[in-house]
Amino acid sequence: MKKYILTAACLTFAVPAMAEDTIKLGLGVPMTGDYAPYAEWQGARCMAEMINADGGVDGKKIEVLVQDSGGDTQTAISLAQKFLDEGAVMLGTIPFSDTMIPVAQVAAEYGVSIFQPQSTQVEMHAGLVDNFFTGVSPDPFTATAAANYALEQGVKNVVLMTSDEGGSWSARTPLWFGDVIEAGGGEVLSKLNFSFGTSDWSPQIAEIKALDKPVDAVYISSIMPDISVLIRQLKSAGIDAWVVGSDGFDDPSLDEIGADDPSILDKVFFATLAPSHADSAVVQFMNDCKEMGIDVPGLFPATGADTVKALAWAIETSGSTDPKTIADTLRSADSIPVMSVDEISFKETKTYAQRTIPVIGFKEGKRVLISNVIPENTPKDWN
Amino acid sequence: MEYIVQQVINALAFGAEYALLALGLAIVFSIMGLVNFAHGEIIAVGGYTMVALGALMIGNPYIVIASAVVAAMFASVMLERFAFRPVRYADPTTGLLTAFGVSMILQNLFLLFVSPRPIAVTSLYFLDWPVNLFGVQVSSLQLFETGATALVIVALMLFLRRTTLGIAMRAAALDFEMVRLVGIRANRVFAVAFLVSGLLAGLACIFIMARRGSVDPHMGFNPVLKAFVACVVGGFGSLPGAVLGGFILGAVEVAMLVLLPQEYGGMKDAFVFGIIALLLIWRPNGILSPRIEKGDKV
Repeated sequence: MKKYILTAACLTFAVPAMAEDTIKLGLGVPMTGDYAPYAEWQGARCMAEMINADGGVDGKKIEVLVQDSGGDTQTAISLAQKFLDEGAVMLGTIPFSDTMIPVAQVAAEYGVSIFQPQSTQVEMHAGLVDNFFTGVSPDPFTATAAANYALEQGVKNVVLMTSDEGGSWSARTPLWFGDVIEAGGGEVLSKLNFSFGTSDWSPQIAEIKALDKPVDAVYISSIMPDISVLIRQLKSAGIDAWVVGSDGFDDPSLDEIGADDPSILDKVFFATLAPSHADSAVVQFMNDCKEMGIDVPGLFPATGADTVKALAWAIETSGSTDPKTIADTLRSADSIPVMSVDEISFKETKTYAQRTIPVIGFKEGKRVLISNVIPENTPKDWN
Repeated sequence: MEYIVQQVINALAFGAEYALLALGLAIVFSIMGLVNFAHGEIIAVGGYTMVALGALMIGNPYIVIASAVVAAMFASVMLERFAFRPVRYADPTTGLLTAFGVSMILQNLFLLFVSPRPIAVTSLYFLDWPVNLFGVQVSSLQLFETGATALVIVALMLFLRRTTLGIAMRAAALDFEMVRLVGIRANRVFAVAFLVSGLLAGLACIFIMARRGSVDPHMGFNPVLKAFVACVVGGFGSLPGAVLGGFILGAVEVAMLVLLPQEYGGMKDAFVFGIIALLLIWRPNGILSPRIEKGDKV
């Protein structure tokens, strides 16, 4: 009995020593539920394994703590607290401001920051919390990149589909697209409402058909499979307009609607988080992970690699695992290497990454990278 | 004028889909007093059957449609046998909780053993093409769906009024103990109610998949919610009420979508449910609520 107690005591005291040998990243993310396809944990795990296989960071292994939040805010807060108590030096959570803000507030008490690799919502950059990073640029940038390409294609008359259900992502992103189109000499013919989960767009399509002028493009920031239904129904109704969108289009199931008739995707393009065409770093990363036996199903799950790579870079550069030092290092760097693009920087932007915005289109049903630059004419009044 | 006709047709098509879904809920409720919230997952079973057939390279649309309907019917009967029969005589809230539990279990099975992502199913795209109807362009799918719902209503009426089993189901809806006393097997009545409900879920699945073109673990949630609302509006347990509720809900939804100014778009559901609340103030038990003491329930 005495021997068991001694062994148990030894194990108990050994835990802190072991903890110091690992760098912990806590991800309380939806592994089940509607938002599961967008969670970044598979990419984070894969990148951590890659780095650990190369010897880790300054001899320390990266440990990705993952637990299912189911998309629930209260669960995400509880998980954040749990990960912080376990010594996490950085946290990730679902990219919605109503969850990210309270999680960031909990993390602030520990000096820890949130790194969200896909959050494009502008609410997080209004100064409510300062221990927050998003690895991508906010929605006005993607809207502008898409509008610039639309103008290049001769688009003049546009219809904007808006919904309050996805916050500014679905409500204001179309308006920023419209602002850039109008600044470029185009016209917003109409703004139409929609709800997430729409499987029949006939009422909106009837509205579009009743407009005085022919529509050149329809812009929507929504999710799959709603978008694919809209694309098909617009074509079926004889409306030969571009269907333009944001990162919600960036799902493999969009490509599959062109399996039998690739021409259905000829007039579809979207501005997104990172290039995800056949030759892109993201696809290469997903293939590498597959070889390692880790399934990373799409761009959104792959972005977790950016979190891990940025964290590893900050610790390696600063030589410290102190959460505040990690945040300061990220914030002051001219260039931070990540997986999805060559580099990002928070130096001028503080909370969001300055990076190129890819516009993806389709040629014969296959994704093609149309452009990949930082748009300079982004509307200024977004925050 | 063309615009108004177009929107009226849209409202009818929305209503037809909701009616088809609501009938599936209502027929089980009328016999068993159970709100089967797992009805949406029966639809998803049909969708995943289509995915499985695609993986087996079976693309014949007739086989795909028939298999999805049969799978939905089979799943529905299995649920009755293994999930709902043990709680048949329990308190109604037990049945309700069981239905929620079954729904969650099935969703998580789809998540764990298939995929949390939407999976494209393109084999039913052929059902959707533009049709010129007296100068108004409509979707063939809208016509199929409205027509199928009308056929289902007629077939159900004939089944319930002209067949022994149908008459037994109507009698069971009124006084189940009396039906058992005259020698009709309770298990058969319940099984047939679930079989018919599964058939309706299978039919709804075809139209949902033809339009949506993909299946995911939660695809049944929204439809079953609409069906529930339609049933409440029409009068829970009444089959004509379910149909009427479906068409009213479809009409109100389309009307709010096109009539509300853009700045009030976020309040569409609030307006829809506001109108429904007014209807329920007028008829608290639903518009065609079954008479409790006498008369025909289904």
